Amino acid sequence: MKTLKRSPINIALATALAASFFASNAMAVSDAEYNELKAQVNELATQAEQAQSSSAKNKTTVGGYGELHYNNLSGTKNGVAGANDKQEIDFHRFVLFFGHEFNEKIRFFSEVELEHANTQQSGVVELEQAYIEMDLMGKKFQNKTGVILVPVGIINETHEPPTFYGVERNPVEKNIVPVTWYQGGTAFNANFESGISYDLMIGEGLNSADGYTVRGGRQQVSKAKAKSLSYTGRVKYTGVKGLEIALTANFQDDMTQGDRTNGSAASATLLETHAIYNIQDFTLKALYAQWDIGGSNAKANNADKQSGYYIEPSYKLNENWGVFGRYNAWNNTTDSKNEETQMNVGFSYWPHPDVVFKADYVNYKKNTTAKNEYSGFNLGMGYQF
Amino acid sequence: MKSIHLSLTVSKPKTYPKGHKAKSGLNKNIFLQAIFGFKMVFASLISLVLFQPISYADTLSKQQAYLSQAFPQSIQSVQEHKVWILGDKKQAVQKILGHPYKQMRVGYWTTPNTTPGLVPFRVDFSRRVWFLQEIGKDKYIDVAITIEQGEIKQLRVLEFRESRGWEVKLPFFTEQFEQNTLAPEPTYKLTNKVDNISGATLSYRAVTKLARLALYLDSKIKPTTK
Repeated sequence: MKTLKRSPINIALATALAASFFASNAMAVSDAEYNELKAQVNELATQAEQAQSSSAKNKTTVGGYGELHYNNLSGTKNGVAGANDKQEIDFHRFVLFFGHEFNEKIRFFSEVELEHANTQQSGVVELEQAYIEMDLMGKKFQNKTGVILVPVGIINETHEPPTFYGVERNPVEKNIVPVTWYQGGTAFNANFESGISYDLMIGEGLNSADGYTVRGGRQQVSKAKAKSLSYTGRVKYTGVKGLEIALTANFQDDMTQGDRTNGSAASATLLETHAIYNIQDFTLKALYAQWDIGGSNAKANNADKQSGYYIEPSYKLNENWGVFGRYNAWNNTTDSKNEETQMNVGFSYWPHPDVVFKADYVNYKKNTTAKNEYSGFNLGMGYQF
Repeated sequence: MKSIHLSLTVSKPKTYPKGHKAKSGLNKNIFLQAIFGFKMVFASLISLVLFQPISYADTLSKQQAYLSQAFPQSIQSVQEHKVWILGDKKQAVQKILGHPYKQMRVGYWTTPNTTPGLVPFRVDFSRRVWFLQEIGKDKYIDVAITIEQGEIKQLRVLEFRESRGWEVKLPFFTEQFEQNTLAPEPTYKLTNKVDNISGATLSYRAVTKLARLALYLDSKIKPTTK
């Protein structure tokens, strides 16, 4: 067998052969081709990302929340046993949000609500929010104009079911504040790095022919009488970890909107204050609200002062479970016989942060001479997205 | 402090009702001018001119400003790199966010970790800055996160567009992310708990997810070499 001499020429030949062999097999793509391919893929990705970020679809957003309630209550109303019984299943709220971002500074937001599932039965469709929000002065101020939630209380603005304890919303904010309270109008908001924020809002006022009914006086931006406007101001402090303190004042010079059938003009002032303190898994919420209503009819019906408070300690056992208790007391008159109290204890279970199942025990009493009370339990399901 | 100064400066005219009152505000300025010379007027004008561009700054210049303070010694050599979210990364990202990330690539900014010479003079050679976005309720929240050796050094909310939950911008909240690291698979949780903010749950959740995402992606980056 002839052996190959290890001459420099032979070694060079062998190296060249090996190089061409490896180049044609292991490196099927040249460096230049590889780099070009890489550049092409990156360019494709960039284009895809740009197309995605500029697509109109991204600028229009949809969201929503909803809650199903089951009430099983039994009790006595005005001395009649069983008159306060309530065994009911209700898809209480089905809400859709639609938002649109016109540009970095101008946005639209809306909330359409179907309450009690069917308008042929007990249901009603409401437009609870529909406003244009604009950033002013380099985002230091925001202006909202349209149908806006009044900046008051704890749950008026944040009322998605997974965010609060208890199947039903608390009765103090419902009967005194009164949530959900929205107005057609305009509002300014500013936030500061110190943790202080303030809100100023002008909108339609309440309209109560009797001059003292608060909850029934909400006009819900439906051909709302605007003779007497409502002015709201809120200062909120959230600059320390775990703490929120807020104070809201609302004023309207005549909640009868000029109707003199039942007496003189009824000026109305609401003061509301609340604090939320959160330390690790423990949260304490406390709220106080009171109306001072002028006018002859409010005085004659002992409704010139209406107030209420609640206190709610809660504890989050882990990511999925939380327990709470809540004591509520309120009175829509100045007569202590009409004072109402309600105690709730219960739990929430979140299988997902945006999905909640709730259960609570309720005990309600009114101070009237004739027996007025009920107790029982509520079950609920809620979601948001 | 800047922002407070700005809001005080620009909000002043807003506090005057239209017409008559505004005029009296002007008269007041002239009165002050007479007393203090031009100092007051100049100070107001300068603060307006100085702070206006910052407050109107777009996303890119906010990112640029963030990078400048994140790489004070080496801003000139900072470069953007991209990491592709593919394969295992895609699954992990899905687990952290609850959905895929909005893009298939995520950019991060860093300096090359090999410096000429033998001594690594740069202190920030393993520092990476991530600019990430996540929806709070229905708008994107832009967050900048600086990570060094698997630990968050700084987290800032660069842009907040939601109507509620702005409190996530406040220092008491963002400071809780500092020194935080990532627990390993399968939880990918932060090792130090970050407390929720009442009324800002969705924003809190979005920012926390981004902190976890940044830590995860950062752990997947091989040291850059030149």
